[in-house]
Formats: sequence, structure tokens, C-alpha cells
Amino acid sequence: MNVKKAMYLSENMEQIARRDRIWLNNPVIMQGMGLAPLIIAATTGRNALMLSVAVLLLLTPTRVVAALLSRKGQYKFRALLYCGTSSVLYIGVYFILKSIFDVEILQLGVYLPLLVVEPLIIKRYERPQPEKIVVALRKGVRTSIGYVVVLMLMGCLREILASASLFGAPIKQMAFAPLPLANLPAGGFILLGVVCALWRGAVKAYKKHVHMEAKRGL
Amino acid sequence: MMEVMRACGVFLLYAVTAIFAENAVFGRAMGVSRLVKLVDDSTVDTLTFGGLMCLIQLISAPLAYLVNGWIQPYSWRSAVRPLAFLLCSTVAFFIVLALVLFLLKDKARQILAVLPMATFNTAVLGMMLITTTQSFTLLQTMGFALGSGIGYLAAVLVVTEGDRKLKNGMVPASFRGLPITLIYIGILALAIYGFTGHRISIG
Amino acid sequence: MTEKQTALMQQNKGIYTDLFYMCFPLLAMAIMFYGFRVALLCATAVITANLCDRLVALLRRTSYTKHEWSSEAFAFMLTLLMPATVSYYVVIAGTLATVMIGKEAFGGYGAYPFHPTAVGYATVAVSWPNQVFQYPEPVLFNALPLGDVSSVTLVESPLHVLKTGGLPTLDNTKLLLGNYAGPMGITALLVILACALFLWNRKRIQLHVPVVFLLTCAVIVFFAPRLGDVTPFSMPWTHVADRLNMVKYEIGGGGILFAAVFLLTDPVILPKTRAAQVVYCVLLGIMTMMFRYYGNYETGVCFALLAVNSISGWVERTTQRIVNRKGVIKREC
Repeated sequence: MNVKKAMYLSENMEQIARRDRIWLNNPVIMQGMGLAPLIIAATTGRNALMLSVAVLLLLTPTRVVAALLSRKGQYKFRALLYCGTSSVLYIGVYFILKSIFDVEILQLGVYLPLLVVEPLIIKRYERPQPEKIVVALRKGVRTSIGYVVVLMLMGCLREILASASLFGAPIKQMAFAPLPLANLPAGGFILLGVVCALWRGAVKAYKKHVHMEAKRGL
Repeated sequence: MMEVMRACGVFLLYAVTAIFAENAVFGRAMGVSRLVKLVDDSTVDTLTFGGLMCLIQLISAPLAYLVNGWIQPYSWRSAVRPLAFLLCSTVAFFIVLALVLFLLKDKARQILAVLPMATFNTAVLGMMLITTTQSFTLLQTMGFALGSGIGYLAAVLVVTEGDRKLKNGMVPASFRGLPITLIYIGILALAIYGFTGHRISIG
Repeated sequence: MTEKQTALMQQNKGIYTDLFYMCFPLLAMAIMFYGFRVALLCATAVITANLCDRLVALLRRTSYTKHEWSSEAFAFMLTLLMPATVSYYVVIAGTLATVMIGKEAFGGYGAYPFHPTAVGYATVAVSWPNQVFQYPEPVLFNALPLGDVSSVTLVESPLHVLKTGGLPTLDNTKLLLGNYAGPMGITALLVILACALFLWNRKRIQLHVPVVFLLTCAVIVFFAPRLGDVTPFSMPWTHVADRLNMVKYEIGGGGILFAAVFLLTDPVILPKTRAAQVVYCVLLGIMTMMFRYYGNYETGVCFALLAVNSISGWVERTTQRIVNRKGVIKREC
């Protein structure tokens, strides 16, 4: 690593980590958000893709519209504001998803409408100050991408382990499913726990590497 | 008399099913994000949160049953269900708010801080969605709602108990916190399969 | 390894070694019935467990030193809980779940909240129920193929009939010697009792633990047998012979005796005080029979272990609080 870059990263690591919602501060891995659809519904690549589209269409607009509305009126019942915004926007999201995926969205069961009250979508209401619209847009997009990355990773991994296939297509090199449990909630919990641990370990190792490179430069 | 006994039996059966076999946390991962935060957060009283959530579920469940009956004939019902059920839980929110303010007065502030969290979460909405999409009767809905609330509270207590053991400083650094809590919940979910078998609960 | 773990290891020195060695008589019985395939399966499990320990040492950037035999003992016990026709892959997967998830993810020796063997068993039972709950018929000195076993006829355990309210037709000799279709290492009751005697003599198990557990199971079966001929909530002095028969088959089959001797007595998960141990064993007995009666699988003890392990800390604290209340025990002034 370039020493100047390492020193810059080392000095500003906390700020950079806070802003990086994909790798260093992923909403699932670091903050434990959005677990319900991830563990129960994201059992195949296809399901993960459908959920990803739903989150991309729902999260940022909810955050932006709620930020806009909170500036217009009372922020007192902000939980209701965020949930109400997401459930109204969900109506549009539902029809868009239906037009893209048709009856396949039934495979997501109750976990598609549950996105409306997922902490991933509405957790911002817990902060007492209203959010700036630009900040809502920026954070919404980053959080959505971070969640989609983990969704697709988990969905594909679980499909490979549980059914030896990917997006419905059998993997020729695999004679049998290595871990059928991966399809079930218990397997989802355990696998996500292991993925979280490995991801956090990798982040920790990266930060350590950056600090060591920065020290070398001094 | 037999009818009453039968009704009580149905109510209890659905309640017990919701507590154990169809537990909101271990069987359906509903409210897990909130649970993980609760376990770590010493400022929020678990019993208060659980009690409020039970109350919200008991009030919103029959409302959701009624509302679902109204929107059932329409093709766009799936799109508006979350909004409709959110309104039901909002009504429940205000009823509980009024009750708490009326009964507890000065002590209400601490409880009211937790009320939005206990109302707007995946466990409450999930219960309403499950009971309506699986066409439960009103009695079954009420039993399931009660069991769901108690089951969630039981899950929080069990995971909090586990967290006590996991804070022994021996867990590897990368596993500390969320990863090991997820693995712990996963193993408990495995135990429940001893009763339910290996069904997928996407329902 | 932390100081606490080192102290625990000193305290429990030799327990897992003894448990590991006591699996060998059961393996010997299994070899008599099923041939050397079972030895290969157990060797696969033990080697996998050892490799897992080495891998963990590598990941922790420490040198591998053999402190204790818990991983190997857990893997050995897990394999004995499975049929002789289970595939090598399932054994390896189960061992990985046992050691890496059940033990090492929680911090290794002395840190696990659930019995690792129970974790591994639940994993394989849920993932591969067709392999784990179908058994070959044991034939003395008749060996199963070492590799592919697709040609072997598999049957349900004779104890499966208990689930439908029937009574198995096993004679006592077959039951005691384990000469019936079942998991490879847990059917030979006489051998398990001999192992229990050895472990008790070596002070590796405290007798009240398995006794209370077995007594609880026996009482539940006696008063509420799942036998079609006996009406629910009937008086206990009716159908006494049938009730006693049911106690014999329920306790003798399905791994209850094996669990009582090999799994329950794990010093890490067992509560520390006698009173808490008694309560723990009673709860475990109740849960085991609940899983047996109402559960999806014929063996419930591993699932019950997982469930009760989750509240063992609370059981210990509550029991201590009750026992230490003023007036319950005399205090030295």
C-alpha cells in the first residue's frame, strides 16, 4: 500500500469507516440490521435478487421522503412518520416487483411486506434530530448497496450449500448438497454468524494493516 | 359448556404453538434485529418491552382481522396490507399510550420511550401478516397474538441468559457480539426442530 | 488459552480421556454387528476433530499442543449416535459442526454453553434425516461394505413403533445386547452400564446425575405411557405390566441411557451445585420425554439437551437463591 494513502487512511479511519456502509461499516455485519428477511427469505440467489430490488426501491425513497416530511411538520411521532412513509411507498414497490418478477414474489412470503418496518428502513426515526435530505439520500444509497451485497452473498451461498445450484441452475461440479441445513432458519442464523465473524475479522485485519503501513511511513 | 371448552382449547393450542413451535424469533427470525439490540442495551427493561409488545399485539390482532376482512375482496390487498396493518398497530399504540398515561402518570415517561420500538417492529407486523395470510379465525388470531408476544419475550430472556455466559471473555474476538449471538440463536432454533421437523417457515 | 480455561482443564483433568476410551467398548460391539466400517467412521470423526483443533491453533497463531481430548471425545460420541450406514461426509460435517460451531466458536474448552455433541447431532439429524434415522439390521460377524452402502437394506428402528402407540417385540436379550436396528454405538445397554460403572469408579460421573434423569424419564413413562391400550390419565395401578414394559423400552432405546452416562455428565455444562444438578436433570428428563412424545424425531435427548442447556445458568442461580434463603439451611454462626 502507498505510504501516503496509508497515513491518510490511518488518520481518518474512524470517519471513513463510519461513512463506508458497504465494507467497513456494513449495516448487517456491523449493526445487525435487516436480519429477518436475510435469514428466512434469502435462501436462494433469486429470492435475494427480489429482496435486493425491493430494498433498493424502498430504503432511499423512504428516508428521503421522511426527511422531507419531517421538515414540514411535527417530528414528534417520527416512528409513525417513517413507517407510514415506507408502507405508502411499498404500494408502488409491490406493483413494480410484481411487474418484474410476477408470482415469484410469493416465494418471499410475509418477508416482503415486513420490509416496511425493518430497522434497516426505519431505524433513523430513533434519532431525535430530523435528517437533512442530502444526507438521507447519500446514506440511503450507501446502506442499500451494503445490504444488497450481503443479501446476494448470503442468498447465493445458501443456495449453493443447500441445493448445489445457483439461481436454479444445478452446479455440475457438485454431486450433492454440502449442507441442507443452510436452507432453514437455524442454518441461516449460524451461517450469517460465521460470515459476520469472518467479515469482521477481515475488517480488523485490514485496519491493522493500514495502521502498520502508516507507522512504517513515520 | 363444551363449546366454551373447545374454544379455550383452540385458543391455548394456538398460543402454545406461537410460543414454541412457531416462535417469532427462533422459527421466523422476526424482531431479531431489535432483540440483538435489546440484549446489549441495559437502559431498556426487557420485561417492560415484552409486556408492551404483548399488549400491542393483543389489541392490533383483532383490528387486523377486521381490516383484512374488508380488503380481502380486492386484488390490490397484498399491496395495501402493510399500510392497513400499520394503521391497526398505530391505533393500538395510541390506546396503550392513553392507558399508560392514565394509569401510571409520572412513571409513564420511561415506559413511553420504549413504546414506539415495541409497536413498530417486524414481530408485531409479522404476527398480523401471518394470521391474515393463513386465514386464522378470530379466536386463533387472538391465541396466536398472545403466544407470539409471550414467545418473543421468552426468546429475549433466553438470549439474554445466553449473553451472560458469552460475556466470559473466552469468545474469539471476531465472534464477539453479533456473530456469536446469531450462532447461539441458531442452535436454539435447531433445538426447536426437534418438535417441528425441518419445515421452512416462509409463510 | 485463558487462565480460566487452564484452571478448568486442571480441575477436569482426564475426564474426556476416560470418556474417549469408554467409547471403545461400544465401538467393539458395533464392529461385531456391522464390521470395520464403523471403526473407519469413528476414525474419520476423531481425525477430523483433531484436524479442527490444529486449524484453530493455526488461526489463533499459537502452536498446537494437546491439552485435552474433548474434541475427539465429542466426535467419537457423535458418530456412535449415528447408524452404521451413515456416509463419511455426514460424519465429517457433523464433526465440523460439533467442534467448530459447538465448541470453538464459543471460545474452546470450558466456554461452550451447549453440549457440542448435541449440536453436531442436531445438525446432521435435521440436514440428513434419511441417513440418520434409517438403520441396517445388525447381523453378528457380518460386515457392511466399507464404501458405498446403497445396496444395504435400511429399516426403521423397532422402537419407532412406540411413536404410533404400539409395543416393540424385542426380547430382553436383544435389548440388552443391542442386537436390533439402531444407532451403531448406543444400543448395547450392558456395555453402557459397564462403562458407567467404570466412570463412576474413576469419579468421572456423579451417580445422582444419571439416576435422577433416568428416574424422571421412567416416572413420566410409567404415569403417561404412549401406548394405545392405556387410556390417557388412567390410574397408575391399571395395566402395570404394560407400563413397566414401556419404561423398559423407552429407557432402553433411543439413546437415553447413553446420554445419561456420556452426555449429561459433561463438567462444563452441568450446573456446579448438587441441588441445581438435580433440578437440571429433572428438567432434562421432562424435556426429553416431551421431545420423544410430541417431537418429529424418534430420539429427543440431544434436542432436549440443547433446550435445557440454554437455561442451566438460570436454574443454578435460582436454585442457589432458594437454597440459601434464611431458614432453609442452617448457618454456622
